[in-house]
This record gives sequence, C-alpha cells and structure tokens, in this order.
Amino acid sequence: MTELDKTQVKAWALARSIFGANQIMCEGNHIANCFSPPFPFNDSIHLSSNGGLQFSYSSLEKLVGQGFAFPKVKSFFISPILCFKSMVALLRIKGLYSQIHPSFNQVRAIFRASVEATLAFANHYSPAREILQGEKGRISFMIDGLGEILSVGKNQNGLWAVIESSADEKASVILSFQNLEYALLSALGKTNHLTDPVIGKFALHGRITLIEKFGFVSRLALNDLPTPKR
Amino acid sequence: MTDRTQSQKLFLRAQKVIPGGIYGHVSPVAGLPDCFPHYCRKAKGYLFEDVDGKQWVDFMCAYGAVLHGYSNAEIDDAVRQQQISGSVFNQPSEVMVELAEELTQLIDFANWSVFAKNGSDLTTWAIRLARQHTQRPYVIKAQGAYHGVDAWCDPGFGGRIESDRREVLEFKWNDVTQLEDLIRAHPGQVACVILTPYHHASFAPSELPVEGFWNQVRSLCDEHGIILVLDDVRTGGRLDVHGSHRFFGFRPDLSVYSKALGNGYAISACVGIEKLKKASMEVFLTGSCWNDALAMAAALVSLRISKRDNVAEQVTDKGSFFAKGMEELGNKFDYPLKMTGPTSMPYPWFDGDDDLFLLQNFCRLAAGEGLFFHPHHNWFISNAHNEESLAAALVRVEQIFEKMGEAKA
Repeated sequence: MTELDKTQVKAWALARSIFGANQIMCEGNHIANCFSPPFPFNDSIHLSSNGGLQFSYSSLEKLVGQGFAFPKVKSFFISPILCFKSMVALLRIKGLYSQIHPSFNQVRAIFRASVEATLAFANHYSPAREILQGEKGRISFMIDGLGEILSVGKNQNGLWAVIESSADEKASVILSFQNLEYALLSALGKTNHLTDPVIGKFALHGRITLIEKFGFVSRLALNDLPTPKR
Repeated sequence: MTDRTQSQKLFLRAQKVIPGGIYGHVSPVAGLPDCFPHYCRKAKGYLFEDVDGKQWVDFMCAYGAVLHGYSNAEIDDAVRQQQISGSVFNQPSEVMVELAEELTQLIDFANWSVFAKNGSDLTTWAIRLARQHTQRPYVIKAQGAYHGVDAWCDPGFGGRIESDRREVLEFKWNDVTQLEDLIRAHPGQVACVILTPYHHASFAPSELPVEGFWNQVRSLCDEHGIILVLDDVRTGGRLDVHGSHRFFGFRPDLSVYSKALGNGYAISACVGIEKLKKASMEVFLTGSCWNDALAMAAALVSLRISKRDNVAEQVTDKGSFFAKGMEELGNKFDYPLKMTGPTSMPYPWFDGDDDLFLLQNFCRLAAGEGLFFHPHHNWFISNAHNEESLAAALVRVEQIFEKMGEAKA
C-alpha cells in the first residue's frame, strides 16, 4: 500500500471525489466516466488515466473549493477532446452542489464524492490507515424509504473501496439516514455524530466499532479538504 | 413505545452546553439511543427510574460502580455520618488511614495503598511507578483491553500524537508465546505488563484466562524483572473480596481498584508490594479532591459489607442462576446463547452474531420490557438482586425470545 504525505493525500482525495461523483452521474446518463485518476502520481495530478485535465495540488484544491481553477495548459494540447468532456463533467458536478432540493441520485453522487475522499485517506494516509487496521466487513449507507446509497468494504487488493452490495452477504453495519436532506448534510460533513442519532437523524445497527472508525477517518478527511460551495 | 419526552428534552438542552450532549461510555450512541433513557432520576437496590418515570430492572450497576445495590443504606449512613464532619480538608482525614489499613489487611500481597478518584488516575500512575522502579520505558498490555482514558491506552482516536503509544506494546490475550516474544524483542526494556484479571473487551465475548496463563505471566515477569500490574478496576470485589488475583491464583505486584470499591462514591486505590514502596514515593500523585473523606468512608463500609456478606460469592451464585436461565431460554427458542465471562459480570454472545445485530435487537426488546441490558458492554449482577428479581427478569426474557421467534417466523 502506497503511503502519501498530507499534501499528496489531499490531492488524491479530491481527484477520487471528482471521479466518484461523476461515476454516479454517468450511471444515470449511460455514458462512460471520463475521470479515472492514475495512481501513483508525481507533483501534479491527472483526472484521467489517458491524458485529460492535469492540475497542480493547489489548483485542484481551488477547483473544488472555489469552483474554478486553471489546469496545466499542456493538458489541452495532449487530449483536447477529453479535456472538453472533462470540463463539461466538472460543470455538471459543480451544478450538483447548487441544487436546493437534490434528487436521490444527486445525493448519491455527492455522498459518493465524500466517501471517495474518506477512502483515499483510509488507504494512503497512515494515521487514518492505522485506525482501520484489522477491520473488515461491509458498511451499508441507506436512506429510510429510499434504499441504499452505497456500500463500503475492502476490495480484492485489500483496499477500502465502494463495493457492490450482495444479497448473499449481509452488511456488517448499517447506517440509515432519516431522509435525503440529512444524508446530504452528512456528505457535506455538517452533522453531529454524537447527538444526531439521539434525535433520530440517523440510526446505526450492527458493528458499531467499524462505523465509528470510518466516521473518524471521514471527519479527518473532510476537515482537511475544501467543501464545494453551495 | 415508551415515553421519553423528558429524556429527549434534557438531551436537547444538554447538547447546547455539553459537547455531544452526553459523552464517554454513557453517551447514548454507545448503547441504543432510540430506546435507552438518557437521564436517570433515582435508583434503589436493583431498580432505577428514568426522568420520564419509567422503572427499569438494572443489569449494568452504573457500569460496575455499584456492587451492593443503589443507595445502600449502610453505606449512605456512613457517608452521612462523615458529612457532619466534612468531606475535603487541608489535610487528609483519619478515614484515609483506616481505609489503607483495611485494604492492606484484605489484600494478601499489599503493603501499602494510595487513593485517587478514578481507575485511569491509578492505572496511569501504576505504569509510571513501574517505570520509575525499573528505569525502563516499555509497557505491555493485551490488545483491546481497556485501562482508562489516558493517551497511552484510551479507545478513542482523537487528541493523540504518535509518541503517546510509542512505548506501549500489545499481545493477544491468552497468547503467552506472543507475550514472551515481545519481552525478548525488547530485552531489559519492559517496565511492566498491565492486564485485567480476565479479558473483558467491549463488543466481544469475554475471555477467561486459559489454564496456566497467569502462572506463566508471573514467571515471565519474575524472570525479566518486569512489574506485573493488575487492573482490577472493573472486576475488583466481584470475584473475590481479597482481589481478583486470588480467584485466579496468582500474585501481582500492583493492583488498581475503583468501580465497586466505593459503591457509587468516586474513589480508586492502588495497592503494592513492599519492594515498590520507595519508588512510589518518587512518582507525584495528587488531585483536587482525592482526599475526599466521604468516598473513603463509603469504601471502608463497602469493603466491610463485602467481607461480612461474602458478596463476591453471592453475586457469582446469583449470576450463575441468571446465566443458566438465559442460556436455557436461548436454546429453547433456538437462539444459542453463551453468557461469557464470570457469571457476576457476564456478556451475552449469540452464536454467529459477530456483528451484534441479534444482541442489539434482543436488548432493544428488553428495553421495552423494562430490562436494562446493554448490547456492547458486559453486564453486572448487583448484590441487591435476589432469586425472585432474577426469576422475574427471566420471565420477561422468555417473552422477548417469543417475540424474536415470532418475528423470525
């Protein structure tokens, strides 16, 4: 497992967030995801494995936090069509965060972005990795009455990842949000993990220790990363 | 659904002025926030009443801090008597000397005793004492064992720096080979091994020591000049009035007690062997109210009751009756259940329920029946319980299993 320093893991988390959000948006539109950030990377990060937009770490933070940043100019010379597609996709992702009443699928996309950032920390940042060391099983995130947002577990390479839920294998822990709005707040890191379950905003069932650890890593990640403006 | 209006109202007030509303092991999120009460109004014997007026049959004993039942008359009388003279003064009071004498007589290896308020105060002090005596840095503990809230051992994740645990090593409970390997990998560097009498990790079945475990640990410590610290905070008084080491047949160098010691009055004690007395005077120890005479008076009477009434044997017998009943009912309804750990402080474990869904459901239904069973922490049998109260609880448990069976069908 490759270890990243704080600056690198933040950049990787943002690139994976963009990939994650777009993955859900592409599902609905039946188009291929133009983002697939390659790993490992050097002093800048490509959003796609076959060229496409390339950002310095600081530009990527600006892109996510402020909604706009200049990519490296050479990106456009290498793969102009992919760059154009990527810019359109980035605008669509930006649009997600400005929705006043987002749909289930839009919340799924925002949630996925947040989870991908957490996973980047869980896999590549040693203080986060140590917390989850020795853990296994699947976390299922649900919204009451609407169904599953996504599942997290270890993939075949032993990395924490968004995984397919299977009817045969029960989740180790289930976190159910009371409604869509609350799931969105959670994805934006605007919830209180100690008080909200007491007032019914979300419920936990199963292996609490696993979600406690994942939650801590998630707060660790979200505290360090810019949140897109709403 | 039970009325929890007052509980919720208080919680909403609390969360404005207290981070998380309620924190630590009693935080609602650590249990079942949707059905456990958040605040208690009063308690007597084996019963407590929440702020909404619902009465509960208790199986948690304030997470172990109560052994003789809530509001024990003898203990409360002694406290009231002491209160006439006062609680905290410029100097300690006579009761401190009496309590130290009582403990050193009661605990066979103990030559001296010191006092604080909580288990953590003295588990941390004990490892510092071991370091002072041995002039070595490393501490060995069991994986998943709880020894308090200090940075070297707390189960949380926040507020830590890398160096906090640099000199803390861990081995798997009952795996003496692994312990020996750790000691050999750090020759002349291990100050102490700190262990609970048996392994009572949260969210997991309790594990008793395997045959020969304690003797082997003792021998390894002797061979390598390591101090053996017994964290008897949770278990003390529940297995043997003379200390849990007597129950398991070994001798530690230091033992730390709290929880049941004061039967609900905040006090902890560390007792030790003569050899460590000199070093103990080099490790600073104090706290604002640590000389509190009320808690010491409570502890003194609590210990005398334990001795007079053979309380450890009594709670073990009562626990055995209850555990047997629980296991029989589990089997009857096809929910194979094992009450793990000593019967006076059991933790239930359903076969194949590693993620605890079944146990959480069971405890949720129990809450509906007014039984306070915790799904993530070992339970405690209070000596205020009697066969009638436990039999009545088992009748309710049978109803719970019936409901679970109906839901399954």
